[in-house]
Amino acid sequence: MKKILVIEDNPMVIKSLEFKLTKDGFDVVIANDGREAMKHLKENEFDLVLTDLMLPFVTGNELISFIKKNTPNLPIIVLSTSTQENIIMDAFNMGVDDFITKPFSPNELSLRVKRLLSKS
Amino acid sequence: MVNQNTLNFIDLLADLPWVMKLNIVFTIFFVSLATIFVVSIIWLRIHKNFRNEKKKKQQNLLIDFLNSFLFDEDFDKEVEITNFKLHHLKSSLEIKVTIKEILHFHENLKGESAKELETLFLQLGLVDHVLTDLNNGSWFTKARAINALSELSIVVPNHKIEAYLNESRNEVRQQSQLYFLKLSQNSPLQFLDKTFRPLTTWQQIYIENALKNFYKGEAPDFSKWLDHDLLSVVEFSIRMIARYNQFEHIEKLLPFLDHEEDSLKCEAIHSLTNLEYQGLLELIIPNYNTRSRALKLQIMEAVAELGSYEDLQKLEAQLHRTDWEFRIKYLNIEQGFLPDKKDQIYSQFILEKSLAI
Repeated sequence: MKKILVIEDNPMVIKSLEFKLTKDGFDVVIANDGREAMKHLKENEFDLVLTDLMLPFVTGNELISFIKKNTPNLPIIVLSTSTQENIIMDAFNMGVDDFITKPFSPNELSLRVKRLLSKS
Repeated sequence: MVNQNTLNFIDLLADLPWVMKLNIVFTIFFVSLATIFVVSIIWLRIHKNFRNEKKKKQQNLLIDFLNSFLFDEDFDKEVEITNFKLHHLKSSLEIKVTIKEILHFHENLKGESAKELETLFLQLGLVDHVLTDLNNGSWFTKARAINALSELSIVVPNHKIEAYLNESRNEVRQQSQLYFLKLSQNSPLQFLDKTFRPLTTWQQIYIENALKNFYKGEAPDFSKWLDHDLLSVVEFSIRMIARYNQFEHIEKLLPFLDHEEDSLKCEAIHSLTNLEYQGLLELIIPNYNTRSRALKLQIMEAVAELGSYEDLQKLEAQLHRTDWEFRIKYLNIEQGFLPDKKDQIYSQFILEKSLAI
């Protein structure tokens, strides 16, 4: 079973992602903030990371840098409210594989997760 | 025995001097007051905790219900909706929390899921509760009800919302304006015809934002509201004509250059500048000296945007030598026209200032 780390601080979004991705047959691990995510990343191996950019303690960008430094092949999808072109471009330049803006379509997100996991 | 004691106490009280009696009465009064106060605080705290507990329970129930409704293919929607309606939508708190949670989900989701939530809202019969709030609630309940309708794209007869376009509370007026902007198919600003309270700056910003982000139809013809009774509506329409590049309305903006209201003159100059109307400068430069300070600054901006160095020089003759606000503005614009002489202009400014010319 593929393991996905979801890093998000909105409880409603967490529950929905957890529900939807679990239904899709993935093992979902939740981190409510960047610090908790770092801890999970150090202790476990994941097949994909789904992260927000604005997180408490450690920002999404710092987290992406950390992942790219330690596990460069781990695919990352950003799920963010930001629609600003420079923020999206920065994320892609840092090496993220996909960018989904909020509000998001759960079905679309599920398809993108599956597509990315089938590639890796 | 008890009666004997009570009688003794009454006798004792009767023998006391009046000052002591008064003291006792006050003591009893203030102790009672303090007791009532403490009991009320405790009661309110308990009530709030109890309410929060029920709220949390309903929220958790809803998170599971909504997730199952949206993502679980085995979820029997029809039966579960009936059950939910029957068992979990009984009190006003349950209804309020349910409306709030559905809106929260809707705010974060889009596409098919958002549509399903809109359908669910109808199926749970929550529209009736929203309409009751709209008719009977306090101002914040009304604002919340209109917000729910517009967020979930629930269309109700226009007159129900039009009634709130001129409410005394700004928040209610704003929500009713947003309702029309979000749900209108082809006339998003029709509500302005029924508006007789001035639009605040924030309302104008919200309307512009909603036109850009929510309204999907063809851009409205803003010139329709150039003869509106409210100055704020006219000002907004003049600004929007430029924002939406409605060049065909330039002729209609020209009379505003001589309008009695400075704010409209200013907005007209600003919009005509943005529309790059080439005949503007010859209309505004000759009267420069008779204009107010705000208008003078706006005219200078127009010269900087549309004019030449010669146009700017026409203003110099009309400038007061020691009015530093205008002198600095003038020299800044001059620097833009003569980039090679930037240093010379700056030295001239320093010299003039030091000599207090």
